[in-house]
Amino acid sequence: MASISFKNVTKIYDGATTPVVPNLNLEIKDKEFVILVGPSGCGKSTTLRMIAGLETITEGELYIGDRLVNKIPPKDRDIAMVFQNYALYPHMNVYKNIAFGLNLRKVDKDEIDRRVHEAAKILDLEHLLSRKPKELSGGQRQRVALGRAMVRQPSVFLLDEPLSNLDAKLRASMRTEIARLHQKLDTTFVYVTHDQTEAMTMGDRIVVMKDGVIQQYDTPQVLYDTPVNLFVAGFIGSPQMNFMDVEIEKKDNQIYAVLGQDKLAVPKFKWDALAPYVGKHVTMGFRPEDFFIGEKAGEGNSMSAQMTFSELLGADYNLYMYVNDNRIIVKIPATAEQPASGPLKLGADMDKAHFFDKESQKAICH
Amino acid sequence: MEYSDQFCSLEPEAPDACISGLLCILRADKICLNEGVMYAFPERQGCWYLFALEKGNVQMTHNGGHVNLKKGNAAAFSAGESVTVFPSAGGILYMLCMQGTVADTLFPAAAKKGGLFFPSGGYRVTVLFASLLAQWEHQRKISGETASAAAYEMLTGLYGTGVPSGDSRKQMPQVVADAIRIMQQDFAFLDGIGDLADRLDVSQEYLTRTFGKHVGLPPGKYLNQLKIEYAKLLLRQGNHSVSFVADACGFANGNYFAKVFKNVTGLSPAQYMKNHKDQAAGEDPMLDPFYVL
Repeated sequence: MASISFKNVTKIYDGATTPVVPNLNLEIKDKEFVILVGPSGCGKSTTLRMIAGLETITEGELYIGDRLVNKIPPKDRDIAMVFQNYALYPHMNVYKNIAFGLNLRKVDKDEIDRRVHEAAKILDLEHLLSRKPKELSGGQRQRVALGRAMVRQPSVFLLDEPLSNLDAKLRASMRTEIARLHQKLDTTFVYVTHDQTEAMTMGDRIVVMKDGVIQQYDTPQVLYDTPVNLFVAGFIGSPQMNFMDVEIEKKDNQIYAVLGQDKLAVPKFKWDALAPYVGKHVTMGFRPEDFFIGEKAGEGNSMSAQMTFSELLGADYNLYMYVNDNRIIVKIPATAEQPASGPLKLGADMDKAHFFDKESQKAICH
Repeated sequence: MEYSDQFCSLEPEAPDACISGLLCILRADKICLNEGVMYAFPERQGCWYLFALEKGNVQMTHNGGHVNLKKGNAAAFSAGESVTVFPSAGGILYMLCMQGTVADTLFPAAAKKGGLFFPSGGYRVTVLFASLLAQWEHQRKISGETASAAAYEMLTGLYGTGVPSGDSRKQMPQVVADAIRIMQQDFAFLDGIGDLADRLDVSQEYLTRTFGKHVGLPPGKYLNQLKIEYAKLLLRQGNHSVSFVADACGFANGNYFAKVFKNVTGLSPAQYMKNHKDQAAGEDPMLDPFYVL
């Protein structure tokens, strides 16, 4: 069993006055694929390296399975790690690189041979076993690094930004490969990235971190639909959520979000949560796909916008507009009629509106 | 005690538990420095290094900056980051590795990152070393409590005489600091200095010239020194073959490894392993990255 459990874990680097990870509590289930995501310096790699044993823990307890591992060295943790820069020995061929961890552990030669060939077959590396790393493409090198981790048959795979050095096309195909590998190996994966697309497409659950603190830990769909605060709302989703400042008004037994000259009727199921904010300003957010243009944009569900330019992405258009000085991105199908530059009425699906407290930045309702 | 013409290392016994948390000396070394050889002191979380130079002139690299130490100077650094020493000529260096809340307090947190420089603190360190050596010669052991008491006296003597080494510290160009960081992390996986230059997106000629100017030796030599330091650690663990150590440290073949190793240490890898077997017991195995591969 390889669940991972952080209990009140704090990490302070020598010489630092503030912790890079303060009081982390996190439960990763056995065989789960969990993504740690956040901007640079948010503590995600430090968290991963604490699991590996490459960083000491200043305070708290870390368990892998039932075992407290604070003082257990990396070699006894039954983990394997894949690094961003591949960490392949340049003087060894692919076979020797994959076999390295097994040789270190003095595994029987026939068993090494069997495991290396099995991994090479899964990763489509069989024809490359005698090549040196410099004769391989970036994607092939990363597959060798994955193969080296696979043959160890660890109970936990740790992957530290493994696709960052690859070009966009290769990244997309390696995402699928790694997700497929997780299904096949049926073991715990912890994956660090700063790329929210990787996070959304690969993980069972995502840990969004900022300043060493977990902002939200849930499935990709829950993070997307119900972000707990402005940071998560803005970080998850591409293009990102559009934010605008509105005043909450109650008139004629209806709650409105007032945006300049426009009043947007808030659906009844959000009224209770917004009631304390009547007369106050809040932040309203919409995903780019929750807008619409055309006849449905009428009184009570539309805002005055200024169309500037558009981008065709194949299946969709990204329309760049201004609403009350807020720059927003609207996503419409490529088959829809593209509006001309200039003023227009932009409709919004108010059922999908997100509201956030301006001060605490926490979500009020979705 | 470990002793040779070039080196003397003392390890006091562990003091009583109630003293060890306050202040204890884990190790005290006296090293005869050879010109052109790099000396690396590995990261030891929660500890302090205190260096003193009795003779010579060295450049110490720590946490992306460097400090020049001359005869009579001392410098303290957090051992949370490794320290490397490059002598510009032969010399004699003392190193104390300490831990405990007293050291943390006397070397304030603000100075941890850059270290503390003691312009005339060297003699206090050499006096301490001499007293530890005398005790060992007399009793064939060094009491932990006595060592802690002597360390306390030395530290209180140094207290207030230090200046943040930022004052005498010269910041390296970013490309040199990045080169050192990459080499320290990835020394075994670099395909020569050409690979390093590619990663830094500069030409190999520019890297070699700039690195040499600021560090005092060519990057290739620095890289080999890092590999040899790691090889020494693996050989001290005593459970790896020499050919495996050569592989793990990124040497393309065992003969070349043995040649470089002998050039730097004066011993063959097999001799070194024999002389130092199982001495890695006190070295922190937590931070042994190649076991996660």
